[in-house]
Amino acid sequence: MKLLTYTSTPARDLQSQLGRPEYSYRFVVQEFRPLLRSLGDVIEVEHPEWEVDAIYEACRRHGEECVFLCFMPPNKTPVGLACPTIPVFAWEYEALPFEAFGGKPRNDWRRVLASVGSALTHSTYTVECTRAAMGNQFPIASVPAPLWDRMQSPREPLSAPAILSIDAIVIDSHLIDLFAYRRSAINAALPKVLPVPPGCEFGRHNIVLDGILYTAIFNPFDGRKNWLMMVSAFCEALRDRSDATLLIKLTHHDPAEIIPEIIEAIYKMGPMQCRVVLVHAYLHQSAYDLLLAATTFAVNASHGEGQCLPLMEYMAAGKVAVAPRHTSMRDYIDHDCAFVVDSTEEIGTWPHDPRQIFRTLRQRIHYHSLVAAFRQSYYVATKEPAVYEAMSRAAIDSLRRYCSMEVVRPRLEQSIRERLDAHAANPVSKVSNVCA
Amino acid sequence: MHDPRNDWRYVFHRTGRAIALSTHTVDAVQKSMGSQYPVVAIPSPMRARQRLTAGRRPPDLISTRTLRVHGRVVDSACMGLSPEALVNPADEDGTLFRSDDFRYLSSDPNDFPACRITDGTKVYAHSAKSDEVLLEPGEQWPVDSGWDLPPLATTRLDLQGIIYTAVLTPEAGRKNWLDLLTAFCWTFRDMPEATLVLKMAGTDLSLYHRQLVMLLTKLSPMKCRVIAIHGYISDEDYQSLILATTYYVNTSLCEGLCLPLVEFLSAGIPAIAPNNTAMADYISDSIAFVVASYPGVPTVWPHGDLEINCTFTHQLDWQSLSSAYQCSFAVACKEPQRYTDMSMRAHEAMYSYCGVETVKRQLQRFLCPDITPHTVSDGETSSLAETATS
Repeated sequence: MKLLTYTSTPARDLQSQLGRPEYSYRFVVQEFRPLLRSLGDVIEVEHPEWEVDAIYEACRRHGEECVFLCFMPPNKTPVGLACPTIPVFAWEYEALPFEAFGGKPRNDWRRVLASVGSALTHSTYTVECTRAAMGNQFPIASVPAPLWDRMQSPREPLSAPAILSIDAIVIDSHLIDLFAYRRSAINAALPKVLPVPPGCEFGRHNIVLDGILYTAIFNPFDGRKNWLMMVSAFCEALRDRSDATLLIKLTHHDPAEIIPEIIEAIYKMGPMQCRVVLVHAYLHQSAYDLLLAATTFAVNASHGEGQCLPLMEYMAAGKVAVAPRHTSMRDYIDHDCAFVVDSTEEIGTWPHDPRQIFRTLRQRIHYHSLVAAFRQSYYVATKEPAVYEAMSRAAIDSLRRYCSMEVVRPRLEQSIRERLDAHAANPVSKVSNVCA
Repeated sequence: MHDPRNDWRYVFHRTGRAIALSTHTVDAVQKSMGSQYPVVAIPSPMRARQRLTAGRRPPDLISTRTLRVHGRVVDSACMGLSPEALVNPADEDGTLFRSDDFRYLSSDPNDFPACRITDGTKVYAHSAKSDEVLLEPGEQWPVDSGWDLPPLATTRLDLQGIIYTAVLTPEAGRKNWLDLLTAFCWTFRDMPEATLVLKMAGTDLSLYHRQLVMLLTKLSPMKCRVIAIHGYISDEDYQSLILATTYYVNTSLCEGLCLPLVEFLSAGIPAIAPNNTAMADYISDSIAFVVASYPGVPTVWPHGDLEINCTFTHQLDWQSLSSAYQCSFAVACKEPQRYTDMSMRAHEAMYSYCGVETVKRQLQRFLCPDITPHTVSDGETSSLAETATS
């Protein structure tokens, strides 16, 4: 069987494309690659509009099955191909986009999904939302990125103190002049953006990772990530704890514009002994592993998640989470493996809708609950090591049930098999000679 | 020059005692000044008005009531709200497009389960004007002024169904009017029988009008109706607004008292409101649909230029607000007796809480406890009570 894959961010461009649309789909494709290779020959295409059917036709001639897994949202998925096409998409809102805005029918995802005939996603939540839009019979399954197995490789034990020595922009709230980033200073500099604090510019930095370390990895320009509340609640909760650190790894090719805003949020919280560290770097494996090993808790405060790869990775490696259990996180976050943060609905928009109109609901994180989760987690990490250990084991087990190869593989195989069988019974002829 | 009065403890120390409007504020003062500091919670006295509205039945959904207001009136029923106008069609959104998409990608609504909007057409169940009705001389129907603030005019509004009213100054961020408006329009998007009247005060009315029009555009299409009245209206018009209201809505993150809420409750109008801060003194589920809110959100003081968080406010639960809108509507439509009971209890509760007699007694006890209270009957006044309440 040939499995064709496509996503818009080429692997070689990932570092420069961080934070751009659909960049996270590249990480997903990378996670699926080993599993897909165990099912057949994997070919990554760069121009699906003409490459896919050419390969499909060749396969058909010599009797080989061929399926196209498009790791893109439905509005960017080619339709009308002769090759059976399965979009593999992430979605974190309760309403699937159902409006053909901008005069483009494919902005109504239902029309695209009806045309391609089936889909794959990464959580039971998104399966439910899709079926609510498409009908209960619509073929869609949850196949989270199968990263659990690779996170089980034995790691080097951490030698204290852990020092992360990297080429990066590193901002440590204890070492900079926060006052220079107060709101009036930021406003006075407009339209210019305040530069990174002196000494923090890109270069070799050594970050001491000790004490109770909370790590969050996200694109700071992504409003869904709710970083303002995360920073504020951390500072509010652990203000007096000199051994508590929140480390935020900024996943974006150029975070210069947002860094002053994050520093201002820290300044606004007033005097504190806890530490907030911002890191902008593309970490190589050993640095990434060191950060993971030194981390006590993985943090998430989002309004919604399609799966959340960083959180999944850390939990699969035995890190306890501070996170809500809404949307896709419902599948792997519970009170056994996480300090659960409460949330309820609020009005929301589809992030890619240029009109930004209110068509759906998203989750409003309860601030006081996030503060409580920080405090409770800190207490457990410092005073209840046995509880932490039990939660750590529960995290590993929860993620095994969510995204191990053992669990994901049969679902993926079955979905592909059902799709190929349906296609064999009723092959779709090409709707036009020009495909897009 | 640094004014020592910016540290309110200095003032409290100099005056020796204080009167706050709520228990919440009393607690805040005593936290700074010590639990023995003489401070008491006495609300603003409310003269009982609108006895006619207390204990009345909820409106039916069909008959029309007319509200006349001299002010700047916005009415969503006569606005051409178009979300598509929010983008430049030349901008690329990255979605694939082929000219035969219209033919080959199904657009038959019957192919899919019903979704929120069955088609893109705007559905307004209301008409801003009735063709058969003759206007009084000098009055007009609401006009569509678009992004500009509407002109001052004597405007006739024909209202139907359940009327929700809020009176607020939008520049006070704690009023949280975004939640108030979005939750209303989302909850009632399919209900032409629900109308929200926003009486907006403050200085930069043009700015808030533009924000309102933007929000209404982003919330459309919707069958419910939103009316805004920008700026000052006469006392008479304000009383007419109270008479026309079914429920008063407050979604504040914190309140020192909230006079309009107290006023409407006194008139027997049940409320949708949180029970945080000052509202904890008088909001309960016997007179209101209580909206959940949670304390502990750091914030700056509303005055001055300190840029560091020094105090806390609440976070409103939007989902709870949406439920409160739903429940209140159901009660008004299906449980008229419950509505009537809430109305009567609201009137009575406000009388006990902040009626003139109650406030006089509290003031006398605090300011001059050694003087024997003079009982005031109808028509009689005491010079002491006059001084205390003036």
